[in-house]
Amino acid sequence: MENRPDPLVVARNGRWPAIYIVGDEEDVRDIADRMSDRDWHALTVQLGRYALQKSRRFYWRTGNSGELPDGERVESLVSKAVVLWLTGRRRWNPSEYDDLPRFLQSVIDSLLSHSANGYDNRGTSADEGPVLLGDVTPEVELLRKERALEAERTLSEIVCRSRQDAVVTAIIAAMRDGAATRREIVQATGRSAADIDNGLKRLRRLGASVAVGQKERMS
Amino acid sequence: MKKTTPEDMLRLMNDLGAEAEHSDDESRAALAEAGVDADAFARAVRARVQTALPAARPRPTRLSWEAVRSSALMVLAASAAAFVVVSYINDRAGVEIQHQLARAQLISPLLPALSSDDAERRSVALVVAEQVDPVFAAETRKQLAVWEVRTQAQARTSRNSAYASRIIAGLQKLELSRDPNDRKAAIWNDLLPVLQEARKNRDDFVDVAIEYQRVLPLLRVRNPDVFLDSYWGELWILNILLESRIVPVVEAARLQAPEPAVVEQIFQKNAPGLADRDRKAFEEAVSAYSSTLKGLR
Repeated sequence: MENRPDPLVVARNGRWPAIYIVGDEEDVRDIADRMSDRDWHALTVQLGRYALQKSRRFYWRTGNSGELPDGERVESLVSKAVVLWLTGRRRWNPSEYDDLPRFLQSVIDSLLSHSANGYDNRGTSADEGPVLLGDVTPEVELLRKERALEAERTLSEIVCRSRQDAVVTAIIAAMRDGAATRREIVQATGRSAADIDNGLKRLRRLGASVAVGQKERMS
Repeated sequence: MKKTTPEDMLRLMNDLGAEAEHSDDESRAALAEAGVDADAFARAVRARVQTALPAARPRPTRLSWEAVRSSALMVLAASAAAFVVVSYINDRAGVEIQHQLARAQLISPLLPALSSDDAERRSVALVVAEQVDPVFAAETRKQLAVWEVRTQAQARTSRNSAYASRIIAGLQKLELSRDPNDRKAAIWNDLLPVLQEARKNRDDFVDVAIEYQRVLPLLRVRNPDVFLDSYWGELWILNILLESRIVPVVEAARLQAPEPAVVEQIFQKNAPGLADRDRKAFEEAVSAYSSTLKGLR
C-alpha cells in the first residue's frame, strides 16, 4: 500500500481512518485468498513448532511445554495469533516483518510473554498488590542463585558436548561476545545464514537434551 | 556488544534455535518429538480459528479454511463499513440524534443488501444491522440462517452432478408434465433412487433432503386425483424425509403427511387392482409410513 497515509496524520482526521482500515482489510483479503489449504496447513504446523519450542524457555507451572498457563495449549495460542491477524486486531507491517510466518511468530511471542507474566504462571494474585522489584526475600534470592548455578552447569555441558562442531562452537563464542540475533551471529562468524540456522537448530536440540538429562539426574 | 550471562545464553540458544528456518518436515518432526500429531494439530487449530471468528454465516458440515477465510473477511468488511458510517454520523449530531438517525438511515439502506443473493453482502449488512437494532437483526439472522442453509444445500447438491441432474429432471416432470408416465418416471427413475443413494453418505443426504423440500409440495400422497402406481414411491419419499432427523425437512414433510388411516384407505381401495408384487410393495410402504409417523409422535 504505497499510498497509505501516515497513521499519525490520519489519527487526527475524522474521515481518513476508515480508509486506512479498508486498506488493511484488502491486504488481509488478498493474502487469505492467495493461501491454499496446503499453505494454511504448513503455516499452522510451522507456528505450532515455533510456539512449542519458544514456550520451553519459560518456567511454566504446568511443567509441560504443550500446556500453558490459564489452561492454554499450544494450539489455542496458535489459533489466537491467526484470529488476531484475520480479524485485523494485529496488523502485519511488511516493513517490520518480511513474511507472514515471521509476523505471526511475533504475535505468538507477545501472547507467550503475556501468559508467562500473568497471574497463573507467577502464582501471585492481583489482589496481593503490585510486585515490588526491591522487595527481594532471602528465599527469592536463593532461588535466583540456584537457577544461575543450574544455567552455568547446563551451559558448561553444552559447550563440552559441542566441541567437535565448529559451527556451533563459533555460534556460542559469538553469543558470549554479545551477538543476540541470527544476523549478528552471521556477521560475527562470517558464515552463511543457512549454516548458522542449521547450527542453531543443532544447538537447540543439544540444549534440550542436556536439560532433560540434568532433570532426570536430579529426580 | 556486552557480555551475556549463562541464563541469557540458554535463552538465546532456545529462542534463536526456534526462530531458525525450519522445513515443513522438520516442523512436523519437532511436533512429533513432543508427542503432537501435526495433522491433528492443524485440524485443531483450524477448528479453533473457525469457532473464534464470529458466526458471520452458518458453519458448513465440514470445516474448511475456505469457511475461515470467508468469516474473517466478512468481519473485517463489517468493521470497516460500520466505522465509515459511524464516522460520518459523528460529524453531524449529538448522541440521541445519532441513534435515531442511525436507525432510520442505516436500516433502510441495509434492506437491499439483506435480501441480496450475495451471501457476503447479506452477512455484512447483518453485522452492521446488529449494531443499529439488535432485535431486528436477531430475527433477520434467524430467517436468513434457514434460507441460507437451504441455499447452500442447493449449491452443494448442484455441484454433485450425479444427483443434481436427476433431481432437476424429476422436478421438471412433476411440475410441468401432465403425462402420468412422466410422473412415474420422475418418482421411480429420478427422485426416489437419488434419495436412496444419498442415504449412503450423511453429508450428501442432508444436502439432498434439504433440496427435497421443493419436491414435497409436488407429492400427491394425501389425495391423489388419479391413482398411479407411483403412489407408494411417493409415499417412500415422504417417509424417508419424515425420518431424516433434519428439523426443517421433517417439519415440512409433516405438513404434507396425511394420517395413516387416509393412506390405509387409499391402499384398501386400490390394492386389489394391483399385481401381487406391486401390492406387496405398496403394503410395505404403508406399513413403514405408519410406523414412522407413530415414532414421530
